[in-house]
Amino acid sequence: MSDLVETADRLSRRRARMLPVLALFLLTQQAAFINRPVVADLVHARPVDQVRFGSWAVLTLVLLAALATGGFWFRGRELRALLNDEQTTAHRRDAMSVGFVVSALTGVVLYVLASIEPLGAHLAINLIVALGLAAALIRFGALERRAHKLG
Amino acid sequence: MAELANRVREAREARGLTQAELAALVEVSRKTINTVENAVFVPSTVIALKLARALGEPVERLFSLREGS
Repeated sequence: MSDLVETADRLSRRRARMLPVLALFLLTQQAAFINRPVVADLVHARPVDQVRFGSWAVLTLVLLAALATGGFWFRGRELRALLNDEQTTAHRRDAMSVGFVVSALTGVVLYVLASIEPLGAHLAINLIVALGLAAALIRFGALERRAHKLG
Repeated sequence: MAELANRVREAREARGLTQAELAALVEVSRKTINTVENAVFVPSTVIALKLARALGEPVERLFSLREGS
């Protein structure tokens, strides 16, 4: 069991480092949506636009799943339990609260902006989802890193 | 407002256990033991009782309320 605790500790530190980095990667992908026209008909769109749309959706779903479940899906049950113990789930709840607030605030800002300059639904949804998810991932990583550093 | 004080570190060290060893006994991560000892994380009743059992002490000797100023 001690070995399992050490392994969980190592993986947990790795997760705390990786999730905020992936959040920043998700945010940098937003530039591709802001600087390009909205794809109205994805079926008949250019392959490059289909890939852009698909990669964003896949990355978002994977990151959301990693945040919601703790990741490491192919590891053993005992190890995953340690990686998602009481404190980690408390950090996750906190992070998701932050993500929800950021998503809602983004929605309000976009609502106001849309009355000044028309916005496409794709871009608005992109921003609401990406900013909320990125905020939650960064918050989770920060809380986990702080907890590891205390020792 | 009252704060939760604990003497988990003291009890653990008295038993000659490392944080990882205690974590294994309680089935939580080392990080959880670490933050409980540093009074950053307030554990649930279940974890508090598991800690008390692992350290062989009554839970009320491990955890107490400290009145804030």
